[in-house]
Amino acid sequence: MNEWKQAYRLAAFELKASRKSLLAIMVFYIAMSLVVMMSFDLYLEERFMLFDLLFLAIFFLFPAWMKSKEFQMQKMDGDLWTVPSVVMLQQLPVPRDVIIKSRFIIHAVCSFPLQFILLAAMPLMSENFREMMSPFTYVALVLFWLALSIAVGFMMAASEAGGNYKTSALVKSFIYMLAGIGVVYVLLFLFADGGFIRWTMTLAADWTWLTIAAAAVIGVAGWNYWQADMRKMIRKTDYL
Amino acid sequence: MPAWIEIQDVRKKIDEFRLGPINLKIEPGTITALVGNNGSGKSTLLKLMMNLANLDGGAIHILGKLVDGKDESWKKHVTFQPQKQIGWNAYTGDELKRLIAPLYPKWDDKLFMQMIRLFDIPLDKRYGKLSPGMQQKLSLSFALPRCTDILILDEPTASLDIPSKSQFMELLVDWMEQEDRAVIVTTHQADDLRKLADYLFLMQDGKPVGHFEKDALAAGYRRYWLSEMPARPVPGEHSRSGSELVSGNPDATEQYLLEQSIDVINHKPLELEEIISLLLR
Repeated sequence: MNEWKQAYRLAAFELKASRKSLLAIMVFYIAMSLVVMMSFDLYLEERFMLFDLLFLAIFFLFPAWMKSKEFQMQKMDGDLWTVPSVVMLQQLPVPRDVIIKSRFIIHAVCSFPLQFILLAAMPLMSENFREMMSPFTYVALVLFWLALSIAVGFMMAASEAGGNYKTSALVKSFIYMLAGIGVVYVLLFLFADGGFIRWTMTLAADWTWLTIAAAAVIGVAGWNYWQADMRKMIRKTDYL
Repeated sequence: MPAWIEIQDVRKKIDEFRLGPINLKIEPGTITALVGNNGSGKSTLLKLMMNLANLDGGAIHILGKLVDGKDESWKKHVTFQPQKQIGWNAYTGDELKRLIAPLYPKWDDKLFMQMIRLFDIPLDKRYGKLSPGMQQKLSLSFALPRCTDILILDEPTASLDIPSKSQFMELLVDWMEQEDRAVIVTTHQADDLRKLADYLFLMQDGKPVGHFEKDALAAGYRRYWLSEMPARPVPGEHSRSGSELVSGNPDATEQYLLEQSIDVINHKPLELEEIISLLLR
């Protein structure tokens, strides 16, 4: 408990120092996201597959881009890539577990408000959605997406531990990432009839309790996994 | 008295550069200067002490605790000031104080404010917007007031103007006298070495050259101007040029010269910088 309190203090400190730019970027991203959400009805009606990709990018990537430059991942000396705060805090008497928790709190603050707005916009901006989902199934859907936010999105927070990467390795992983996105897009097109969002809606509508249970499992597993992963990465990285 | 810092057979490879094996003990009440040419591994060694990188071999204990162990409580007793502060740019001095001061139980706010006034540092300006000299002054103003048992400074005076440098050295000497403390400092400034260091740990290309008591090292080298230069090597001889001989063992040299009836026209001790240059050549 004490660790969380200390982590919250550190996170609040960083968020306060970047609050102006953080708020400005958040407002801009929310406005952009709502413009994209205007196509949600079209997506539900006509299998507008590009919407899936746009939504996923906004949902998972925008939170990581919300921080100002000084608090983002960057190349330091040699082959070290990391977030400067992670180096700074390691030079102070702050346990590594507290550093990890503080990075997760910051990511949660950057991601959850935007994600709540995106999820709230679904029933507000789409008549088709309102017809397909009851309030209860909608809650299951929201829980499922928040669990995804932890299981997938918190990878961004964990990656802030950084690492020692050669440029060629970075280029290679970027190519793999693009290829991965391409594969996911094709799989969505082939197997998730109507797209991924629609598939999760069907899941929440037809298997509501299963969706809630899956959300709990995915959320808890993701939460623990990424913290352990970040711990491992910090241990592995040379901050020289 | 047991060593506060114990470095045993420490090794680290970074690309082509190999550090170590390094063995070094730091005792309380001492100031040890790590001295070496650029790229000799001084900063890397300091970062290894702070557990900022993994050892390839060996162990580092601080106050009896392994720095890469699970118990991180030793960090409360150590202040580390790197050459370049990472992650400070976005914060003002006031904000940094709110972050740093509560982490150290013995934080001395009076000393902090004294240093801020002495160096005339604006606390409302972001660290990244300050000049390099001002950044270093602010950084130092955050180092001493933590009042930790161990202080690690990586080139603390490199960007300071001459008056600030001597003001800081006076503060550091006062600070050392207050309690049993240990300081490790890397520096290229001869003045820092002369005024501050008790011990010198010399490094070259990642390897230790030696660990010396400063005064003993300074007394251990002399330059002689001789009436005639003997053809054979002189005991303790380090180098020779014309009628000039540099000895690393004056007693043995003088004894030999006496025995050989070679007149010494003049002699004087070597400056510390000269000795270091000789050892690192």
